[in-house]
Amino acid sequence: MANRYIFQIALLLCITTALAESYTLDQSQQKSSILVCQDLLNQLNGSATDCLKQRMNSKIPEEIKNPQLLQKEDLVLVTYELFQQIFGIFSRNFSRTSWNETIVEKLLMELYQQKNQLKTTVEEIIKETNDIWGNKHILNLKKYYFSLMRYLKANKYSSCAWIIIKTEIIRNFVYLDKLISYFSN
Amino acid sequence: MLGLLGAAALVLVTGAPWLLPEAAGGKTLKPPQNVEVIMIDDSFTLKWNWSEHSTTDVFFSAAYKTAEMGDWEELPGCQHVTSTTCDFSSLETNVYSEIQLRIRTEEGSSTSPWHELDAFTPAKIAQIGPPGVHLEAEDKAIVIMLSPPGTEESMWALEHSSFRYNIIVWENSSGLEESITTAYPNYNVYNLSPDTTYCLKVRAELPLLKKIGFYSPVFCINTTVENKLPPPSNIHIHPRDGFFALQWDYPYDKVAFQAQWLYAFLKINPESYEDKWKPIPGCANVQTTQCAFHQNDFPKGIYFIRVQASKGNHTSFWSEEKRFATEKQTVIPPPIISAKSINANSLHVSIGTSKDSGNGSVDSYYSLVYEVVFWENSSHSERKRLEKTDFTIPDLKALMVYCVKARALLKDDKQNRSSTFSNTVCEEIQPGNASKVWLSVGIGTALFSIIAVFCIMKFISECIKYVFCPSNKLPSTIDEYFPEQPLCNLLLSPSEEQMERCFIIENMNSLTTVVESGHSDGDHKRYSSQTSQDSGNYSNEDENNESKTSE
Repeated sequence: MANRYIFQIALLLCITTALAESYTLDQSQQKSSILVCQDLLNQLNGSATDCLKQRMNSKIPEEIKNPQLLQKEDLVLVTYELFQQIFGIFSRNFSRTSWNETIVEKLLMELYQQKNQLKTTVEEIIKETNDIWGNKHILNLKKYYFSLMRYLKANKYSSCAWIIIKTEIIRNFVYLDKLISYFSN
Repeated sequence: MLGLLGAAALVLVTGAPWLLPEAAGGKTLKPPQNVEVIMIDDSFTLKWNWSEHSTTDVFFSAAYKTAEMGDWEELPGCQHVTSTTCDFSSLETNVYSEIQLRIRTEEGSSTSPWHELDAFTPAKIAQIGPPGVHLEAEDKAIVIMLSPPGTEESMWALEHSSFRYNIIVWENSSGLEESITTAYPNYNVYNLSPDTTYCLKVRAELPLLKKIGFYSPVFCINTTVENKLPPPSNIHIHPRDGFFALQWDYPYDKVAFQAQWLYAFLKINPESYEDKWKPIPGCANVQTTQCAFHQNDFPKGIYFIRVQASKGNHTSFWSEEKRFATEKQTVIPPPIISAKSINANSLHVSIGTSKDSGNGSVDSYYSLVYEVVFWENSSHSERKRLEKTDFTIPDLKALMVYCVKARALLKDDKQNRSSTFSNTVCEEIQPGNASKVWLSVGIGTALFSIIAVFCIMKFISECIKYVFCPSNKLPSTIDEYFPEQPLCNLLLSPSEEQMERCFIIENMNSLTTVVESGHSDGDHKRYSSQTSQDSGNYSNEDENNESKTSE
């Protein structure tokens, strides 16, 4: 019984390792992209001190803050998920803020490109692993971003809600950068 | 008594179900059977069977619990329902969190035991419903505008940009089918026939979650009659010296064109982006089938471009949308190279970066390797190495001049991007200690041999002088008449007619002194002598041609 699956498991390990290896070549590009995104986010005006009354209870999953809880093979999926979800958040209506539309467009373009570049790798991984629902890191991430979306909706996409979200996303990028650095060694 | 009361209270509190029916009068209420959760997009339904007969009305109530909650709460929309199905779509829950449901039957004041379902993740069990479809017709194309299943903040809120759509289009009369898969909710089907009926159905998929949705109902539309002006075709874009050249084909002339652009990421947004197209500066109204626009107008990114023709009051439909990606010009500054010959027959090279890199922080994330080219100044044959920033090139020829230059390359780059070459540095290779010794030995030997040769030559010349040119001492009386004439003249300068000077002694008694003339042409003294034996001339045969005797 075990023999039947040994080949599949070995193949899976080979492929994910190969994919993980090929992924490392673009990490410098991802890091520079993160810098671009952080820079653009910092250009969006509005400070959180005006919105102290508002609180958001969503917490980023522990494994994002603490890379030791992750495997190297998870890095691709996690990075893709972050770019994908942050893209989704900033695609929403921010008309109640005084943000410059051009800056948000640049941010979306950058996220879109990163997302696109990772997409084929991610699709290959999903084909092999056959079950994203079993990956609790990705599930935790989706839970987290769903709650961010809910928060925006519950607060009717107000300016303060957006500023709180923006601050949270900037922190997300810091963690992602740390993650990528951790696994590039 | 108190103890009994206490025990009864305890039993009631623990809610031992097998006691309650007895309290109600002996009838055991059965919970619902075959309970099913059906989730399609944002519609959440609970279904069950209950086949028991009952005289009175039977109700059903459900409750839910998530990991974050401490206790069971009432499921909205499923309280005291009479039918065997209820809708709890108004439940606000994180669809990626596990949730538990339970349901029970209620009749009068009695309730059945809870039927508990296994915990599940809503997003995992949910199915994808059909997308919304809106169609517009052109003469040879159909514009399809899809809206993703579910509302914006619902089940698929996180997956909006991940949807893939599968469109099946067929011509109504012929039934020829075409299956299209696209990531864009706004998709145009081209190359159709004018004035024809086409039908289609669409379904949405989430490949990363391994979900395939239901097909939409069939929608049909008629394409319009052929437009007078066809849309431009065959759009292509070439970068050219800081500009992008946009070109297209058009069958007619005397037609004006305008080109528009759109951010690519807007195409995956289901909202209508018709108003988001912007004119391309420099291509807003051109009379030729080409135009140019600045590269600076389009920072690095992915765009779509479309072109429209117009003549008088008529305009064509928009051309096919051309995807267009501008690559970031990764500027890698050239390195600065310095070289020094320190050790024997080798060159120590140092590569540094210039301080003034404009996009500094971004470039510092790229790891670089250096391609070093070096050559002998005379021969110009180049050799290359890939190195780090500080290294030594060994095995070079001493006292030769070598030149070095280098450029930076992105490590493991598929595009082989590199900087321009650095400055060229030329250095003379110092000889090593070992070769210094050999060199000095060589020089010493050379000097010595020169001196030796010189001495030998001198010695030989002395020998020759000694052998062929002896210094004879003649008696003083003769000597005063014969100036020293080295005999080596005979050998060394035979061209001169040498006459031996002879003295002819004829008469011993009268010794007539004839004044000698030093000429070599043969005057000689004659001394008369009585000795008959000695009479006669002693002369050199060779030189006696002009001998004259004078008396």
